[in-house]
Amino acid sequence: MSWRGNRAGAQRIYFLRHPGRELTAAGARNDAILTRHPGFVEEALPWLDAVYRFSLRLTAGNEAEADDVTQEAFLRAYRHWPTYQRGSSARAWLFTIARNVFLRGRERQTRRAETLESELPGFAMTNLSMETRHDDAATDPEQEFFASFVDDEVIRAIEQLPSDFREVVVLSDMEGLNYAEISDVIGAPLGTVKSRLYRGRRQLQRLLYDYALEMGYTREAPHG
Amino acid sequence: MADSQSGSCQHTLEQFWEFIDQECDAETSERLQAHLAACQSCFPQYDFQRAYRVFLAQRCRQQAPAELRKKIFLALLEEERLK
Repeated sequence: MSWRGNRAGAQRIYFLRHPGRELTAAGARNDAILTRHPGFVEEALPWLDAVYRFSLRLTAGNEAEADDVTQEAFLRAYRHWPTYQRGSSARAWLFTIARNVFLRGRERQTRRAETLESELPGFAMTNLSMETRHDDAATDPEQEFFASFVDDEVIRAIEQLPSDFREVVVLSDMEGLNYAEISDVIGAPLGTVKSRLYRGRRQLQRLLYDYALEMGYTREAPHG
Repeated sequence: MADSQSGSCQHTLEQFWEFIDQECDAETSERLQAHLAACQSCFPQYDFQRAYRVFLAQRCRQQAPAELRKKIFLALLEEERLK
């Protein structure tokens, strides 16, 4: 066995003993194994969490489906890595692939359902556990509101949005893509992105702002 | 009192998301900033949405499950092996 083969084998054993540690932003160890497409480890793998979150929102919280979408998206990304324009937004490129995987999966489900003349199962709403907590968030009324309003309520409100609105809200508000990147991901003009964001946020506002008013969490302008 | 015309407030509300998203040009940003700082009607909504953005950006950082990472890594290894 070659030196590289020995090393790869050792890394694979390490990975199996330490699942989850290989696909990190550091990623240097993977370079010795994933040699087919240079740059994939450094540019694509760091976005695994973001793609998973986006998939989770696309599927309205269906974790099993989000797993499948994420895995298929990364496999396709790996196969088609040579088509990725180095220096462009790998994150937006990966979101585009994940979205296509999701939409094609839904098309297949719909066709299958039509064939079987049965209804699609309802999309499960799952409560998410947020990993990062900011105990110092309650420094102003609005932050206090969100701290007390609990994450699940906001996530549930987002999941209640129509899918066209939900995906742009998630890409912008949760993942921080700019309008141009979102336009690339969903394949729609900037004007459509703005319009859907505006309407999606308006719906969220109706759900959340009324509650904030009711709870007395909003504050007046500093200079009246 | 800020621009008291309801039209100005309506115009602000239509643009304040672009302001929060930092997608406005400098001139528009300055104008909106001045309006929001003084308008009792627009500021609470702006402040609330800004807090909402901070909340989502900071707290919705869920990570992919370790088992999924493992599956993806092994699938990529397999893909590499089949090249």
